[in-house]
Amino acid sequence: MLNNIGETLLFISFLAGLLGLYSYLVGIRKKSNLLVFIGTRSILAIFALLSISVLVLIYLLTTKDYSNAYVAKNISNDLSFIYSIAALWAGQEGSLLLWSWILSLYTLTIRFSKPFKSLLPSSESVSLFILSFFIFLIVFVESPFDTLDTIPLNGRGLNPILQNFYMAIHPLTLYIGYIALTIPFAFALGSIISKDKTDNWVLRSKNWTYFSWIFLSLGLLLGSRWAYLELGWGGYWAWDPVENVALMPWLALTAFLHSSMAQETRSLLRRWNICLIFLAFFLSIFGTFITRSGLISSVHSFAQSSIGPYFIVFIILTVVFAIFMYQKNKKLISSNEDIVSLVSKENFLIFNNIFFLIITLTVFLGTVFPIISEAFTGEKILVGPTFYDLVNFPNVLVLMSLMSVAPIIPWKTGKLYPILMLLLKPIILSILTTFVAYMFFDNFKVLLIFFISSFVIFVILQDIIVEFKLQLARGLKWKDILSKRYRRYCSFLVHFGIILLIIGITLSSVYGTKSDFILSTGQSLKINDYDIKLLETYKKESEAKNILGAKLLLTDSGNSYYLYPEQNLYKYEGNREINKETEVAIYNTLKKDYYLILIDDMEDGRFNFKIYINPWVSLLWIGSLVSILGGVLIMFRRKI
Amino acid sequence: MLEIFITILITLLSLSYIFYPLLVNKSDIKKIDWDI
Repeated sequence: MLNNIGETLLFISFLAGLLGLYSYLVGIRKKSNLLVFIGTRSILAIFALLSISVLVLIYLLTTKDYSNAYVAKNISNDLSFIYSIAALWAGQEGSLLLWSWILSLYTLTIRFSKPFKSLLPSSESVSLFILSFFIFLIVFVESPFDTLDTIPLNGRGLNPILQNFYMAIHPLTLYIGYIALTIPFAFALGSIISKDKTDNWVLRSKNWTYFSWIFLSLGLLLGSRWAYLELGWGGYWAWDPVENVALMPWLALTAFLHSSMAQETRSLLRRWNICLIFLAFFLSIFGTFITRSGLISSVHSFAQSSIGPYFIVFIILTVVFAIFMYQKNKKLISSNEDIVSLVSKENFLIFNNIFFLIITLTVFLGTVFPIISEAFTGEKILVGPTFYDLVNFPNVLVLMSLMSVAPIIPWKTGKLYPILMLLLKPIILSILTTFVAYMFFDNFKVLLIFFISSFVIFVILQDIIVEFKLQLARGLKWKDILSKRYRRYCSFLVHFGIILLIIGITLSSVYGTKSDFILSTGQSLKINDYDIKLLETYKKESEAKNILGAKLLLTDSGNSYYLYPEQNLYKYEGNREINKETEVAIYNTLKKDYYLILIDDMEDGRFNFKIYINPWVSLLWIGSLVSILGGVLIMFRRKI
Repeated sequence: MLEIFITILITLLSLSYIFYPLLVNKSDIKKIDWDI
């Protein structure tokens, strides 16, 4: 019965979507407050209906009601309560329902923006159109409330590698970020539709873009952490197609967060910002399409189905409509002012955007190359990490350099000489720092990164010190100075986090080591400068799986660490692609991670292991968190 | 029977909620500033 009620709720929410769209279209055309109000109420009705649908599906999942096809496909008797809830976004139908629900919540919030100008109904109608498309998918293509004729005794179960804390929250975090991009897109397109000549849409979008950036960053971070802990290949980023499609909107959005400052401050780059937010949104939809269509094979092939063609039609329709509206009204959104000097903040923001977009394009081409190669040669040729590392490294260096210079350049006209003088001390100090680093590191790539990183940090420090000296001399208190320069210092925090992240990535990729070894109980081995001893092995059995585990003692520079790698063999097969799963043993220190995997029991009393020593990976996690914290602080102080 | 009842109930509730503004005094409806 609950399945039928769920289907009814979804179908009525689809009808409400159509009704709302019609009300908006006619209401905006006729400037009718009444029709727009009916449209707004239909959004609220959709939100209520979808909220009940989500609750119904959660109930079916947690009570393991196998009459529901989605439950039978993603749940099994041995699955815990928490993972049963997480199964809501583990499969196609459930995640589409969740997507629709979150989008309905976001769409609902548009009406609370003030003042209630014509931009808002137009934006609501755009968002409602996108929402209706997702509801269409769960009503007619991939219903989460489909039933089975024969009710199985047990479900097919959740993929073991998805049964991890980070997996439980990583997709949800990414969804929240991805979907939030719809609202700035709706504001941008809404402003064009309503022929709003002001910069209102940027001001209204800014908090949404920060919100989206924070959650996309968090989603990428959690995804990397999950890959690091769960996939057992020693790394955190593989340039997998699905990782790439999550990264691309983040890159476009980061570019927008920079360039929109020019519109907020000087009403510049108005068309460019609209194009950027369109791009970020389309990349998020493209990402969803790639993940769900199964067009490119990936480690994320958990939620594939035949919804690809619907997505293609939707993407084409939306892109064509957005371009048409943009072309039709682009005269209204031209900037009144011009960039007058090459040495100006706005110009450096453009440089920043160009390099962000070059990286986005590189990642895009690398991601779609298998499709292109298949079209021409009949064979899917995957692009490996070497391509991305090689092409992106110079771009990242340029972006890091811009990160140091751009914040201290004034708007409009900046004079070159005073800026060069300002950079003199940081350059000298960073050269000295690099010389000191040369005593410990011999790799050119590492030293180059150290030089630019220290340059960025010294520029930031100099700016803070000079500002504080000046303002304290004027009689201002510390608290007042911090308050006055709040946004600037928060952006420094974001940049500082990114610097830590890049140093972490560079050091771990250059100095990381990998070794395979075989040990029997009691035996020890010296690898590089550390000793490793297999103390014991054990076998355990739980309701769901057989566990083979090992206890090893690792001694490095007088410090001893115990490591417990395990291998799980799931008893109940279901339709899991992977039934054998490794539980990596990781000992984290600030300086290095000891990452140990139990590969196999060789059946002759010996065991096969693999160990990765990943130096300074901690900087990657710390840097990401610092950066995200900076974003959160900026968002909470913005006044709209 | 119960399913049909619930289906009709949800439909009626949703539609009456959406179309409620048609029944009330139009001056209560939120005004939009249509001028740009």
